[in-house]
Amino acid sequence: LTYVHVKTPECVLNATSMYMRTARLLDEGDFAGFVSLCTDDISYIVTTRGADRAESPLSLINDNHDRLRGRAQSISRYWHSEKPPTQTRHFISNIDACEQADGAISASAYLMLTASRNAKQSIFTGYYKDRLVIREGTLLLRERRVVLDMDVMVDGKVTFIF
Amino acid sequence: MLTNVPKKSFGDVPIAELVQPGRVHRRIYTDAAIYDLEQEAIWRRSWLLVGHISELKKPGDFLTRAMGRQPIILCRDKDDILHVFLNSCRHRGAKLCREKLGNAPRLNCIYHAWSFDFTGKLRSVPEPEGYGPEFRLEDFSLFEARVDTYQGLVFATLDPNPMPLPEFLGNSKEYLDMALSSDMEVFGSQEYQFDGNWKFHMENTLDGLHGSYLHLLFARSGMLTAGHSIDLGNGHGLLEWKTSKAKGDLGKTMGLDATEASPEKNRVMILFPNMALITINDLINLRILSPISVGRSSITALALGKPGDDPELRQRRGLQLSATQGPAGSAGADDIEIYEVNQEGCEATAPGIEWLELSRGLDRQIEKGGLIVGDLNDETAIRGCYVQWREMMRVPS
Repeated sequence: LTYVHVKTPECVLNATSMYMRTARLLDEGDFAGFVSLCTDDISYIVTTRGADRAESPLSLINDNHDRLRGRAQSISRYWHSEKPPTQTRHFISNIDACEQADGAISASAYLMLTASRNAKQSIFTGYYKDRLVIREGTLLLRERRVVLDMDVMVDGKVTFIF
Repeated sequence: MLTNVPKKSFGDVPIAELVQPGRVHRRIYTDAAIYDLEQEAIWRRSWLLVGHISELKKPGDFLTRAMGRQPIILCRDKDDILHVFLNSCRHRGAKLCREKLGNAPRLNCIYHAWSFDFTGKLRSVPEPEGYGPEFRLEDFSLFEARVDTYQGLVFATLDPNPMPLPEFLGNSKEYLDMALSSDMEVFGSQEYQFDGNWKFHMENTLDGLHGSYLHLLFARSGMLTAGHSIDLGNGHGLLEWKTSKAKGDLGKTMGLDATEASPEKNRVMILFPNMALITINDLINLRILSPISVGRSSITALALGKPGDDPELRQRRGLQLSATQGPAGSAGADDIEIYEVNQEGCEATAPGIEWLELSRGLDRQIEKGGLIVGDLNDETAIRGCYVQWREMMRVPS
């Protein structure tokens, strides 16, 4: 299978639109809304730079649709560590994207996420590698891989969606 | 013999007396002087888990961790022998090895290029004549800890006269044998820190009650059923319980839908003071705990698998760590929250509230086969940790 990678203003615009949309939903606390932008076979992985380089099968987060839905419910309803809730801000830049022969979009971007709760503010930096697909006429997230620059979670728990 | 012994009493009360049957004093979590004494009386004298044998496959492999607050290098020499050294150059004290892990022919200090081999011997220094005629390389070997292994676990101690490792492990060996084998391998790790005293991790890991209250998703799933809290002696403790199938699709959302490989019983174990072993469903999770300061600690979580694991099972072992026990997991995130709110809350103290209750099940626990056994929801295993804490903190004047 040979993919043809074509970078067009339209696919960069579509990828940018998806990044902005998901960031807004997550920062506004609409986690179910974020999940609704994911395909049923979503792969949502968050890993660290060291684990990524070592091609480790263990990541910080490794969610399919069921587990991502559970994560969204935990943040909204179950986690005491989200009461009071963390206010996140997703700052996304350096967006790049190209279209593949099957119509899917491969996208990448830099991420800086601030997470503020009570007296703590944590900062995470890293990058996204996403794959967007069109299902029933709608552009959805099929893969999101987040590689964090840090190897140690210095502020402990990670109770948000990148 | 203790070196650099900090203060041994709190007011008129010996520090060891801050732990009593059924209660502990808030100060044991918040007082920096008590923490300093713990470093000398517990962390320098205990066998500590430092890694797993599979992390060092080849001669020259090394990794850096900590024993208590002491930085260490764990390595394999050219004769395949494991060593643990304090990670500090004998010249000016600089941290010798700065990488988390790797493979190298020698351990070279970046400051003045003193070079050590993997048996800890100083092999070369530049311009040696500058150190005078009495200078001898053999006087400057790295400080080496004693090392021993059990079922693939690598332990080390800074105590020059420790009890033999099998004696230290005592009753825990039976449960280690059930969970582990020496041919297992580490296939990934997670590292995280939290603002809480190290003992909060020890307690919470052996707290069978909180699962029904702190972990709301687990409680709702109905997966938690009856079991036991067991004081194994030597400060080691165990919870074991049967898990029923989760209600509805909650098992799927937590990544805990059991497979045929899942054991009938789930267990969590603490080996006092720094190791946790969690075997739930397919997950085999080792934790190495290191205190950073009185109110801050670090955890390295290792994911273990068996050599014959098929790729699907191996993946499940990993995702169950990520989805449940890790810092982004359904249980792990709230466990970290509780370490931190315990720490913050224990800063509050006033006459009449200094003592914290640790008596649940004290009047109904029983002795069985040389072990003290309580209900899963009792504090039996935690009290066992504190018997050892109290014993080790009785420092001679």
